[in-house]
Amino acid sequence: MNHSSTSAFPLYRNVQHCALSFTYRGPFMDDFTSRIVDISENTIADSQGLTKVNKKVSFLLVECFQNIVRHGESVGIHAEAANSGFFNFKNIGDSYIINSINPVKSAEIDSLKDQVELINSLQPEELKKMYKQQLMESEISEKGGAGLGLIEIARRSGQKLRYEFEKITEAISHFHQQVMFTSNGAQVIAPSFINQTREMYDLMGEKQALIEYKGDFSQKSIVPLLTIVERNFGKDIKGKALGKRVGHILIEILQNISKHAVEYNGLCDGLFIIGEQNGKIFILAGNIVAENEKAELERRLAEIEGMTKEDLKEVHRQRILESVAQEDKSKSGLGLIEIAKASSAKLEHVFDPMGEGLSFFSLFVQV
Amino acid sequence: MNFGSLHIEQTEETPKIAFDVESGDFIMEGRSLPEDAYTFFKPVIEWINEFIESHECDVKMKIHLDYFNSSSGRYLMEILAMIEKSCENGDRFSITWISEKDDELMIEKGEEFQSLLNLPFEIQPV
Repeated sequence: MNHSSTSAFPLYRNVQHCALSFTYRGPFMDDFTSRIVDISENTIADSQGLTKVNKKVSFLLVECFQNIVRHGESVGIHAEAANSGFFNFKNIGDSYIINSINPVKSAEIDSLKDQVELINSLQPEELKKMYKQQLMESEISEKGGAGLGLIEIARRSGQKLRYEFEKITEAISHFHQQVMFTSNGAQVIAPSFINQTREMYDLMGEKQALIEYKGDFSQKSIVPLLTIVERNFGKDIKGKALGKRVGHILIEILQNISKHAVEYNGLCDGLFIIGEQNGKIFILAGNIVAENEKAELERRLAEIEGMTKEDLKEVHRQRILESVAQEDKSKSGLGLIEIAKASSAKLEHVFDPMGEGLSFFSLFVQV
Repeated sequence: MNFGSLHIEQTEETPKIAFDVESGDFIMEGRSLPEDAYTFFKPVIEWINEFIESHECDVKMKIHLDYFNSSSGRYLMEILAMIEKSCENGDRFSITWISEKDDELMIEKGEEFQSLLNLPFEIQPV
């Protein structure tokens, strides 16, 4: 077993300090924004109880996302590259941070830089004025001011935009952008997450991951996550409901994790990525487990990983029948069996030691 | 005795339950994903128990689920096992398991239940 491909620990470490991290890597589709908003609303509504924050987060997410989509098109890079981008949303304490990486023509760097610098130099009143001006000008000039999207982002975030350009080829560069705001409206000097985002970009690229989610694995996150998965994976080449199979496995994984995860730094959470390797969809999920749970988990996994499809069916059947007579149906171990049954290959797992009697448990499931 | 039909509204994570005593049409549809499936299914199981006790049953049960998690699966099995038992005592139940025709997984799930039960159990792809 190739350890590095099965462990989710490097990804987890990248976003460990975030209460929520959601990353999307791949083609940007417009209707995707509403799903991200769903996730942020569901997750944040509970931790903060602030609808105002929700509105702002939603707004910024939509603007940033659409700005990337629009921009990708406007630079006229060939279709594939224009639509591929990278987008991370995270929440740390009172701060909400959106990082994005998208390809731009190297020749456009100077004009983009000018736009962002101009916006960063303006006071709120001046931004407002510029916004109105842009609204009235029917023809948006390429060089004159900044785009409406960027102005809006700057106005709503109330913070300076952070950015970097990174040359990829002579013709194409990556535009790294960071937008941030705080729930209390405080002006802060936002730390740069650009390097961290670049690392996540590389990690997800290595694993061919399309979606990353780190955060609460409780029930309220499941429905929006399920919707994202269904929309994104849809049907396979034979027209079978691939998205549903992915969703089905994901539910079991999330609920399994939410049952066993250990609280760490005040958070009880986990991480998963979904991607596509060699034409097969996979889910790689991970969470922190206590050392004393590890042995039991290890035993159960070894048992399951040693079973054939037929064995799994039989065990599943027996457990289901036994459970009818049982009062307490919660301790079944059925979840893992269910995951193994629905998977098209054997499960793989890794424990990464974390010290303090804790391990990071990763489970790799091929759909 | 006055024993009413059972109606539970559908939510994003729990199915609609419409068990009509008069017509004998029992419908369960939607998704069943609650982490705590017990809380959702307990009243359903109690209701069915009481229904079986107090009625001569001639019931057509339609189950059309989009998703269900493993813990919901256990309670579904419990409900179906209760029904199976009552059929041994002369009650009449028929189960129709409805799934989208491209939804391999839910059809597979239906077949699993079918193989575990001795009941008129039809799988209907739509």
